[in-house]
Amino acid sequence: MSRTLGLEPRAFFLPGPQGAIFTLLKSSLTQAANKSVVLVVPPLAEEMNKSRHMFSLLAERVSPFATTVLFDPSGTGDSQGDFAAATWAIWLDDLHSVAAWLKSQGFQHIHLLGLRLGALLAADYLKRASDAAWLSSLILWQPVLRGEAMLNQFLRLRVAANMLGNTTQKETTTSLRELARIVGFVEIAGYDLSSAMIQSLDDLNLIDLLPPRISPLHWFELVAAEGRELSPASQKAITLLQERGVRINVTTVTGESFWATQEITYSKDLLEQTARVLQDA
Amino acid sequence: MSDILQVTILQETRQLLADVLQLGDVVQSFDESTPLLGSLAELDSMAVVTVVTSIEELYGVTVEDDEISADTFETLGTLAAFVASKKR
Repeated sequence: MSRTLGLEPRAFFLPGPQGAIFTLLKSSLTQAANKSVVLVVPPLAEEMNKSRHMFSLLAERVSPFATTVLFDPSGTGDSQGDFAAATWAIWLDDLHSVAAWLKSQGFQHIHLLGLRLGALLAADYLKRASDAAWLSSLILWQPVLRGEAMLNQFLRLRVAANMLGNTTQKETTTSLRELARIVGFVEIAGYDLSSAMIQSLDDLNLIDLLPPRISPLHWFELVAAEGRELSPASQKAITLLQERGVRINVTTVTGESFWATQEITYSKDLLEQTARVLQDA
Repeated sequence: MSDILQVTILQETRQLLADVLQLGDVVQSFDESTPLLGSLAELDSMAVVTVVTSIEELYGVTVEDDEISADTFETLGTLAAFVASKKR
């Protein structure tokens, strides 16, 4: 719970296709906060657990001028449903349910903020939406460029666990995908990842999901220290998108990969830069 | 491989570990024989994956699943040698 005076967290359930979607709304009592809202689209599994502190800090930081909304996609967090039964389509519907509800609440400015896989979910949602005129801005924090690459990282948790556990099991990201295909799911770090979800994730490409009409688009990427550059892959993706007419505001910020670090960390730089974007909107 | 290149890669690998594992200055005391796997409490599954991903992103290479092995992560020296082999 926040210790900041005037920050009113409200937790409730919104009806979604798989059942109840746990939604957390953090708002201060100022007028300005009632006009602007940033809807956070979360990263996958453990990454979200490690990111909660950062989002809590974001809510506090922007509270004078914006409300922050978090939700748990079906099968995750406090929402209904099993993770094994979750599909990308369901998660898109969940996001739609929350966004639709926010629109009905009379917010003048609605921003989407996607972290890691959440960036792909937000982008895919916007691509399928018949219109995105209601969107004030799309903010991407360390966007995953290719679902397949991110999935490999996730599957590797099991490969790494085998190594650390000294087992002779020689599993690979390929064999784990095959296992999921045969059995219907594969267990990774306590999460039952369905074959359907794997197929959906493997097909996701951020470059294909960001149309030029999405504007403004703010791309934030963390680097370990000042002076370090964007990863070559991100640079390439951004160039490609800009050539297609997508206007991207790119900012590198210093900080650790808070969604992955063992010790819970946060990036003050990212908070400040994001707050600036939301305040100026 | 030249000595200077070896030292550079060792230092780069030290820095990578420091960044990923949030180790701070203690990494400067690590040398080639410093054991990693089984000795560094910070080296859990997530950390291993993050180290591998960082190597891939920093050097623009692909790490094969069978390279995520006890041999690779045995010591700072073996990890640095692995990084060097990928850079080539």
